[in-house]
Amino acid sequence: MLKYILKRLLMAFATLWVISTLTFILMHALPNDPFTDPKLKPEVRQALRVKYGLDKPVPEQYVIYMKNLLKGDLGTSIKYPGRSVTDIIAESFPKSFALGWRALVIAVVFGLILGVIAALNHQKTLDYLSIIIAIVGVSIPSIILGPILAYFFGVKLGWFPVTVDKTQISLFLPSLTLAMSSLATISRLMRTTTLEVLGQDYISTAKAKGLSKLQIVLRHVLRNAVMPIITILGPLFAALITGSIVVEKIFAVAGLGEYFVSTITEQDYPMIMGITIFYAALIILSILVVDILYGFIDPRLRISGKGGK
Amino acid sequence: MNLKRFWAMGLAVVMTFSIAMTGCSSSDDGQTVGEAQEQTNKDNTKGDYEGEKVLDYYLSSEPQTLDPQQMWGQPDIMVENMFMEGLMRFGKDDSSLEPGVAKGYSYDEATNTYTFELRDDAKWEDGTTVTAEDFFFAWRMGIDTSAPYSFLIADYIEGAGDYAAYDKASFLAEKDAAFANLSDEEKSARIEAMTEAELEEYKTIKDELWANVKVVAEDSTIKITVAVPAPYFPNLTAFAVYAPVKEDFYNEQAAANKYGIEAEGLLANGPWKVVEWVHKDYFKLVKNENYWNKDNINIDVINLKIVNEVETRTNLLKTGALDGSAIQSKDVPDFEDMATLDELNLQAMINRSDFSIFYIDFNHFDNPITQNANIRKALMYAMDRTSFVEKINIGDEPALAFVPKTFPGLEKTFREENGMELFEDNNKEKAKEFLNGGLKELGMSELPALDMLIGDSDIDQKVAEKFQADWKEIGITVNLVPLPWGERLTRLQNGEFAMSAAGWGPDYPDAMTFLELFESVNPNNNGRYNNPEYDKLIQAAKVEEDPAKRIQYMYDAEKLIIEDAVIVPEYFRNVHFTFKKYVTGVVIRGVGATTDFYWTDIDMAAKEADKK
Repeated sequence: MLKYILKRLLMAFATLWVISTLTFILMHALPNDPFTDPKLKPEVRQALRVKYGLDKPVPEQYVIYMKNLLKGDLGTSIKYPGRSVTDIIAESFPKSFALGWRALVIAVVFGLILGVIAALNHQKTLDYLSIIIAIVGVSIPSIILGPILAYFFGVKLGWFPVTVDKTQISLFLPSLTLAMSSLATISRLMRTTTLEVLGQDYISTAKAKGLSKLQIVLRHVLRNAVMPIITILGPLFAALITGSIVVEKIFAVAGLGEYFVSTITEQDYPMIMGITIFYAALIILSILVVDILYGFIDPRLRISGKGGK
Repeated sequence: MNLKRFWAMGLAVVMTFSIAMTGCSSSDDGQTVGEAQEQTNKDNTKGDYEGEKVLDYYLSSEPQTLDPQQMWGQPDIMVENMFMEGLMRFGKDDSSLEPGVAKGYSYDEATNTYTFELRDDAKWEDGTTVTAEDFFFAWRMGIDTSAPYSFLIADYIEGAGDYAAYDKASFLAEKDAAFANLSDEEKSARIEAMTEAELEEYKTIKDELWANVKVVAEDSTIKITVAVPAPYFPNLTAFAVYAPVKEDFYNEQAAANKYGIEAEGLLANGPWKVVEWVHKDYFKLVKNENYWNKDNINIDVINLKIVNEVETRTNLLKTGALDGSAIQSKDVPDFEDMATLDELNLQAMINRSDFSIFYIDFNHFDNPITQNANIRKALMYAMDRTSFVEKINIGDEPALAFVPKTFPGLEKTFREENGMELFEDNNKEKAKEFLNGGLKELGMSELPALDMLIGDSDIDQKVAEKFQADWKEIGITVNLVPLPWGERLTRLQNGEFAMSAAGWGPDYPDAMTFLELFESVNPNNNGRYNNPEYDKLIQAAKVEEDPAKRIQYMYDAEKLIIEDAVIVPEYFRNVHFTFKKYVTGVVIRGVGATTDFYWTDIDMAAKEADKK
């Protein structure tokens, strides 16, 4: 197991290197540079280029960047002069994370419940109801859902603040908005897999043994049906905790999500690199964790003892 | 899949519709209620309110930096004006000034010298006195760091230009004749390899040059000799780049990498001080107890929430979390409705120019068609700007000249002095005549399609589409090419365009900030218009000492822009603001700090009643 993890970690570093190199090349392939504001005089632009080392040839910049990266130095932002990329990520990530994990909990808990209820009531009213919720969740993008929730529950009813402030309650609407599409995905997936499991021989065996319906669902159905959910949980987790530009804009969250887009339009090179590497590392890490978790959850993989790979 | 989408869309439409309905039904018979409310408000202001006066406002984005010398955009300058103060402050209108660290100034025409008399009770937030040295340190540092707006110092103060121009390369070129022949790379390598002795010598020369800069501290005055005639020079001292910096504090905070980027790294000498700055989230400013004019500052606490989204701001305004907000052009009709305003306890909108002009640049150097003045004029006269501001950009003004409406001139506004309209809007007949004239000159029977570069936002697209339709009517086909700015700039530089959408706002309160754009040497002259006659007018204005003659050159320059259709004006942008009825005395400006709470007061009792 340890050897397996080590091997995977090594792979992870190789992947990160490839991703950062590709990003570096793509980013420098964008036309012009960060200093295109017409309000900056040519002398000022030149001084800024020199300050950020952009006057050097791109391969040289790459070597400098990679050397600093190995030392753990992600550089300083160009858009926000003087602020280190690490600081910006460290400051904004917790705010996205606060929404992300709540969204994940909402999505997983309600997604699973909805999925199981739908499957157990196959082709009955409750099934159709859960299908409707799932369709609504998947097809209404957060850019529409967010404003509707903010307007209805924030402005009209006044139950929740319309933007995120220091209170816990203000996190509810954005977390819910963020959770909706994942909730829907999970519930659909759970419904399908539960139906599949319900048709298996071992469920008939369990029934024949005289186990109660609840016992069958909890001990046999859930455990087997939840496997595919765990597979998507890793990337889903990484995606949710790194924030969404839409949700963060609507609810004025000072999170990380917005940077994924704004840094590119601003051509803030060190920020683009920092954010990409950070996100890639999170995804790689969460997939790794899920793969390891597999071994503990899936009885078949547990028996083979090597994570099945 | 298709069915799913259809379902969702239907649902969304139903939901939005029902929300719109509820929104309408609650705003009945607002007029009388509002009048009554205004009455009670007036009574309330008389009642004494014991607690703190708190203003809740917003910033539309995170400031890039709050280092006064390094900033160049909004909202940075707006926040800077809250916690900093230069020799003078921005006044209540676009050209007036209020005393700041200086009580006032006098001007000696013979020597071109301004004397600013410093007040002795001007203090930093730590209680120490603001000195002339604090200003000199700041100005020198602004130039040394090639700050974006350092040209406002280097181009104006006698000797500062020479100081700014002398760099390590000039030093090495003086020492060694061979240096000039090196390649750029070799030059920068040589500069990096400068010995300690050389650096020492360079520094000595720089110090000498700085000593020649005509700024003198004398018996609690600062005397500044101005290198060029600039009647607006005192206004420049209110700009961020001219703000003082306390050297000790700067060195300490810069070493900790906090200067201008964290609340701790800001030292206020203005009416408020920054006590909290949570990046991208919010600011908290409180009244600076060491500010000399604190008795006339009413607001004790300013909370600034950073909110990008206009819809979100509107929501906050509706829930009472903000005391005011800018209103986006498309929402203007909603907020013009008195019933809506009264329901939300808002005052009538403030509408004013933000001094931005939007126009079309032409390729004047590499495109025979747009180099033809008649073709440009055909495009200019074909555009229907009046219907544009009625239907597309609601609330903006048709631009029938170049310098924005209400921009200061010599005595009145520049527009009043040089004519409100320099050409006729939407004259398709005249446009066709120009088109035919142009075609004849070009020896063509039909005009090939022209490429127009535009921004990649929805709004840019909508604006351009309107004028595209106007041109189509007289038989000119224009293809719109939406591109992100970086790419657009590359194509502008390479001459790969016929037309390009452009916009400009002022850097300083003088029409020159607009007119110099088309001087042949101006870096923002994207179309590379090159007319010696125009250059002559601009140069003459830049050296003319008589204000009346000086502005006459600028009037002529503007007329030439229109006569020659150097560019084609589209519209002047207006901004719209509304504040709660309990807020008074907010100043909205077009240049400098755009929103100013220096004279603002709040009726807190009414504010609390409104929240309930």
